[in-house]
Amino acid sequence: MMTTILLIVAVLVFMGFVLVSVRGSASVKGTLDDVGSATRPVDLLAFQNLVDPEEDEFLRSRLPAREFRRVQRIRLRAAVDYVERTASNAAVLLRVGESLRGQDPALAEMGREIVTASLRLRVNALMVLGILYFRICFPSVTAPVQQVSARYEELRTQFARLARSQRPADAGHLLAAL
Amino acid sequence: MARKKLYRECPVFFLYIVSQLYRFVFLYPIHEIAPWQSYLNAYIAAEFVDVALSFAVIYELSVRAFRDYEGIRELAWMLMRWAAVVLLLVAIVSAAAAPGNEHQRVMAGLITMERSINIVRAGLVFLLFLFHATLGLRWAKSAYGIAVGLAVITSVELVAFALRANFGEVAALMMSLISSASYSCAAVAWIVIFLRSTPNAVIVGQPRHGDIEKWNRALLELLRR
Repeated sequence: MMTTILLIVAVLVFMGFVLVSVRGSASVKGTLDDVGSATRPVDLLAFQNLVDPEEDEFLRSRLPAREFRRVQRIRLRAAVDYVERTASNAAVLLRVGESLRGQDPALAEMGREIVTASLRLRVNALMVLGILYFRICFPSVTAPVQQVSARYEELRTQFARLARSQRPADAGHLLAAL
Repeated sequence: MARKKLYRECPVFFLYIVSQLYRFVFLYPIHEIAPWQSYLNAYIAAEFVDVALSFAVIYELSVRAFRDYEGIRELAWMLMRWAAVVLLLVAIVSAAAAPGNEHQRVMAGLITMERSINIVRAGLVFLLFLFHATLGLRWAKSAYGIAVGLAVITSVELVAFALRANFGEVAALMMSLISSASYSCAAVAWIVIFLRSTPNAVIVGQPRHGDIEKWNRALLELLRR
């Protein structure tokens, strides 16, 4: 009976997930205008500061253990928000990259690079989110999460090339949205 | 699908649909005329074909899903393979923990096998959805509808076989009705999707953007002469 109940619960979760994905599919078309409207800017320096191990050590040495855990949780929650932003922006840029398929070879190549960089960032962001949530539960644990900023920087560079070639006048404005 | 030549896009799924039709045409007369043992043998044979084709459909969906994403293709395949192994283990454990109140041992074995297969199938379809949702992948043309249909059939069958294994003969008729209803729902969804679909248009000799620029420059030079 227990196995049956577990199976039914698993199936309900599965169908709920499918239903949510049916409702939430295909909202971004992948134009450069989406970059201005569907993305949220990420302050990479602030993020790097939040996850800097030296900063962690400095706080650990200066604050009482309980206070350190409280402050660390606040910092880690802020870091989670940054990582979620990078993942969400990567999803928008993924669509932009996909929309360049079938264009002239140079543009299609740029699109392919953006797609690859976006996907790598999304995979990386997923892992880092897991680590950050774990660290929120156990603030004293140290685990590296800085690679997201490097991946995001790489994606921004790829996108900057595209923006400068396609919309030279708007490139600055589009990059500021990331 | 045949009229619109959509079978070129997803040939295995087309084969799966055709096999489902043959399954009914083949099994129904045997069920009505032949002895129970003959029907059981035919049913098991049809089940093997069905299982092989449904896994092939999931494989086809996976190939189409990751084809355009070379950045994660290897990782996705590795995860799918490992997931299949883990799901197989879950299915074996679930089969070992199956209740044994079924009188006919053959039927009990069949139900356990069906349930185990459905666990693996549902898990792989779930993983496909999970990949698309978490990585933001775009579903290939018509693949989304096929995957939703498979998800519905597999989920309902999983519940139906679990109930059948638990409640025995009492749940047999209910299980049969629920399974048929779920398959009909999925079939309707597939019909709608494929009626709406159009085969990929192939424009022969379409000039590329770069070519147009070259032609434009050549034309301007010609006009300047």
